[in-house]
Amino acid sequence: MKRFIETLKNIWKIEDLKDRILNTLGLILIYRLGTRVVLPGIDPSQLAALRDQTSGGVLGLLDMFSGGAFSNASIFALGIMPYISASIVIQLLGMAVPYFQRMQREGESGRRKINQITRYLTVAILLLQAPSYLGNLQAQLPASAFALSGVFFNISSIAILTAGTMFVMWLGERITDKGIGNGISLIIMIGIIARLPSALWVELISRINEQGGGLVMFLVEMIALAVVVALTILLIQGTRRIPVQYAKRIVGNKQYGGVRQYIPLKVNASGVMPIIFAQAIMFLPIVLVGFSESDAATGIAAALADNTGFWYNFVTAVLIVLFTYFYTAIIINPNQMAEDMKKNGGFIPGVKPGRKTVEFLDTVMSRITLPGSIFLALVAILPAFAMIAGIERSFAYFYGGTSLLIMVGVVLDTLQQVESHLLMRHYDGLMKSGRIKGGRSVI
Amino acid sequence: MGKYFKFKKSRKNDISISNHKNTKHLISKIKTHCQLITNYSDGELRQLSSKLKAEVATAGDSTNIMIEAYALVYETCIRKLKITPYDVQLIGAVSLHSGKIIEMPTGEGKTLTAVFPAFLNALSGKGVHVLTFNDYLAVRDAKWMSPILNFLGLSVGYITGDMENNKRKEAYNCDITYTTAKNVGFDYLSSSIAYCKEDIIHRPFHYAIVDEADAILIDEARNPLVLSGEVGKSNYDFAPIAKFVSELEDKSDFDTDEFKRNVYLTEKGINKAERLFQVDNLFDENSIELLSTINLSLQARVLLKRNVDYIVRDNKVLLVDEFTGRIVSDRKWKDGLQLAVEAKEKVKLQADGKILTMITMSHFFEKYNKVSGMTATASESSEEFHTLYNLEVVTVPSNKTCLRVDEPNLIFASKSEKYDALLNDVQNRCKKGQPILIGTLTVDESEQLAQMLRDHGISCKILNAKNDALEAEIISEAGKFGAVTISTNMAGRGTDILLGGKDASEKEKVVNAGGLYVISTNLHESSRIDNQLRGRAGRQGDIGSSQFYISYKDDLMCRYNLQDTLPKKLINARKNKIEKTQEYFSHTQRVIEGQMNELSTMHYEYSSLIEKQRKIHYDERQAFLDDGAVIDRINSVNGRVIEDCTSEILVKARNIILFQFDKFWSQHIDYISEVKEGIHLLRYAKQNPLREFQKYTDTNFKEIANHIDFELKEGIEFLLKNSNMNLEDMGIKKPSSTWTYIINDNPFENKYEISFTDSSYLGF
Repeated sequence: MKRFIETLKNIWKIEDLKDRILNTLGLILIYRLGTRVVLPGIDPSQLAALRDQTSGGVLGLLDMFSGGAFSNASIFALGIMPYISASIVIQLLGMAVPYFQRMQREGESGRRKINQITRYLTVAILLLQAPSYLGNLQAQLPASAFALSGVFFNISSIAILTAGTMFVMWLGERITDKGIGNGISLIIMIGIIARLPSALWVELISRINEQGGGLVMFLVEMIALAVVVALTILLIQGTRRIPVQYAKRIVGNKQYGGVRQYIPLKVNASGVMPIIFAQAIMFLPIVLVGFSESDAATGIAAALADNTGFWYNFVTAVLIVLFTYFYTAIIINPNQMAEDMKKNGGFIPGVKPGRKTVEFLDTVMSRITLPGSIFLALVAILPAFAMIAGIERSFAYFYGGTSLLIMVGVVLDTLQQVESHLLMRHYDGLMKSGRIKGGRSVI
Repeated sequence: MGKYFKFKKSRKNDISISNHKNTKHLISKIKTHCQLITNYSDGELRQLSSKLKAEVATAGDSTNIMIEAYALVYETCIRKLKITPYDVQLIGAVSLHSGKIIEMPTGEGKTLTAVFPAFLNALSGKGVHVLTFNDYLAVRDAKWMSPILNFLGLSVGYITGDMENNKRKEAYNCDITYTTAKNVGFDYLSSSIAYCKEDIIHRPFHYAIVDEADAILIDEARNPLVLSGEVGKSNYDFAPIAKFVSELEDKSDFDTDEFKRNVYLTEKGINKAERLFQVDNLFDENSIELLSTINLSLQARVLLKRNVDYIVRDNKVLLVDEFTGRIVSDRKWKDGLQLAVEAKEKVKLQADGKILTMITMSHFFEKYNKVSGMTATASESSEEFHTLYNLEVVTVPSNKTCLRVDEPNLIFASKSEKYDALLNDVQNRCKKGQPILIGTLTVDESEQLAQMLRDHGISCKILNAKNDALEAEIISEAGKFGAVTISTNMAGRGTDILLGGKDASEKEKVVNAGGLYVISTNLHESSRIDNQLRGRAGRQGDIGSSQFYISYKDDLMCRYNLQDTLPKKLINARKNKIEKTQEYFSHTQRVIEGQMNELSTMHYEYSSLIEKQRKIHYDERQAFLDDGAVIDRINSVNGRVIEDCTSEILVKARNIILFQFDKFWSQHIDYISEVKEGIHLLRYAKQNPLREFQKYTDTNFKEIANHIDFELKEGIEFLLKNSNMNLEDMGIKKPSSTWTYIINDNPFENKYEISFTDSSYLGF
């Protein structure tokens, strides 16, 4: 703890880092305020129906990603997700379409172009999503909630929602640029974490009001949470290191053990995407059942819609495992790795370059992806277990799933960036004071 | 996009205009002051100079006396050199003092411009370095400018590459030193392994004026200056491997990637090697040395071409600089590639050395308190100057309007069509007697083109790295009536071609024929190099013109695989003069320049932590050149004050200390280069390679500190017990011979690698 405070003090002392942190906080504040600003023409006091609708399922997921802006009918209601969808689309295109592949090679100017296209695509997605969002609002909210209506309301709201998301994107980029951490992911994380205090409070109150031993239960829950977080960190950071040797000439005698180069293969290379995919698919039965009259279909749908039920969680878990394999195959390409190594004169000791290397990497990858995907599936369905154990729904979400993975991932990343800043500053200090311990005037 | 660029351009000009308003005011002040002192006697001028010197000594700052100082130099210049400086030179001089890069057209007198800030900043006595493009210019400029500076009571010295250390030291102690950037850089490196104070030959770095600033600060920014020392061990035998590699067949035994930047053995080639050298698995940790030598020999055979990348002369492999077309005798390829090329050409292998210390040009310039520069082509790279050095570019208007006509590029579908049209053009111009300078890309191309011209009955002269001894003669005749000169980039930067040659009476005839006509057979990687070549025509208000002949099959397009970026229909058209095609070519150049800039920035980011470490290490090491520090150290090891510290023990202890410092630094460099090799692999786990690289570097640096501490303690303890020990027997000695060179930027480094980033990287 003392070290922690010491580090904080250090951070505060470093002008540049301090500014960056303050910038980040300021920009996040702007974002948080924006999520509370309701679309013009809508009565903020009549949003209850919307909140009910977004308490779970895919809409709940959307609400989470938008930091509650979705259920607030805010100007930022569509959140940053359209941009992420656009990025994913472009990423996939980059693997298949030659035009994008070439772009990726063009360095800075190509990257700028890709960014530009991603943004245009974001606007296109927004222009599709905004009308559906408004349609949903009009279906859910009572007519009295709308002070404005008609074409003017629709057009202005579409413009505002689109501009809102673009503004959030801009905020994110500002944070990346002038602040600390990756702005876009920070914004998503802040949206999630913003729910923590109230969820914690609700949980505490409900436990206190319980008969006998409520507080003890609360403590047990906290310990369980800590364990879950630790396991999640393990999952995120788990890597298998494949040693790589470079055919480099060594001149003179080597003094002490060389560097071990390696390819880090992540146990969970695909991140949160499989969970998001799986949850989106789980939403389908409910939609489909709307077209069917049969009792059996409704029954199945009901079973698959029950968040705490066996079938829902079982099917989700299976889907996650499948999607993990699928997505890992897309983003981890042993062919490219082997090619990359060959180009730079590297090789895995004992394994010949080319086909043999690809096979080797492929085998390792499929071996580590199995436990990785099962672990990921478990993390995803943990909240259901938490709910079964009697934890309030809003708090249970922090026991796993996308929210926990994102939070832990972003916090780890941001901390590393702070650390790297501190490292560079540390050297500025050393340049004044010197390094060798047994310095000049010891006696 | 187009709009964006236009906007940027106009804004840039605005800046220089507003700047000029300020400077104009200053210029008129300087000139008024000149009138004040124009009647002063020589003695009074000298007095004024010493008065200014005294003022700087008390005020500590020279900016306040700029007007007086510049007026003084102005007047002295008129008296001593019989030259009246132009206003534009004063404008340049003012900007130089404020630490800027000035862009001045070719032939407008940069040498004289630099004298003003050199004088002003040398008044403090801390020394000013004027860094010229080569040794020849350093000597010429020093001798040319010393009358002014000597008259004003300042000493002038120059340093060339082959000078002795005591002479160098003398020159460094002068108020103003003319030399090249790499001379100073190398001296800095050798001082950093000095074993006594007397071996440090330079003073702390104060102010540098860099001539041809874009070439030195940008094109050379990534090439590290290196100090190597001999290692007792013999080289791995390259000859049999070179022989093996020379017998391999292309495509079947080895293959290259699509850009011809990498080469590797195929399975068949691997089997052949394993059979011949009798190893079970070439990719086993035990056969690393063999494998790396094979790889290097393959690279030497396939990727480096004689008369393009290097020439062989006097049984030596000499590198040809890709930007200037000149032989760069103190440059080498890194990590044994040099030896592999030497083995390929069957020349004597040079001694293999271990890198003791190194510094990149960009970090070297950080040692100066102030840097400013001059060149004819700066504005194209103002972004790089800003990001890498935080230097601002100021465009100085030219004294006389440039009359050169730059014809729009002629674009052809194939190389043969290009050369046909070029020959035709040359023939027509020749009939008029207009002197022609043709710029080519490589030694080979210059020779082939000369052959083509001769086949058509046109006599011409060739200037390339192979006959650089004749440079002065060829250039002096290049402006003559009817002369045709084919050159590599050698005739670009810094070459002064006089219309009519040495004979001034011929000039009018040449002017009537249209002045010098510059042809380039290619676009270059950087538009700056194009402009340098163009700048040979139309200097100082002369008449002249330039024309670029380019084709879709040019090396520039192939090397970066950029033919694909051209729309098919443009390629298929037989001959295009359409503006759109031009735009594609400019785009291509911008793409390449962008990549280069990115690469430089990346190099800088990776090296800046090491540079900090180097500074810490260096400061600590140099402190031990003081006797006091060594005695303190001995005492601290001994645990009490040692009374009978003889000078012998002192020297031995110092040698032990310095030896350990140098040894571990050299190891640190080894370690870093090894880490760098594979750090990009971390991207596969979405980790930030730079961050991880810094962590590795940091950990090792701290470890080194512990090692040094330990070794010093052991060494000194041993010394105290055995005061007559022989250090050499313990392996503690200065490297028997050291030499300096510049590592050539890896010509086939995978430049695309850096753009291998995931744009949707979100950290989760």
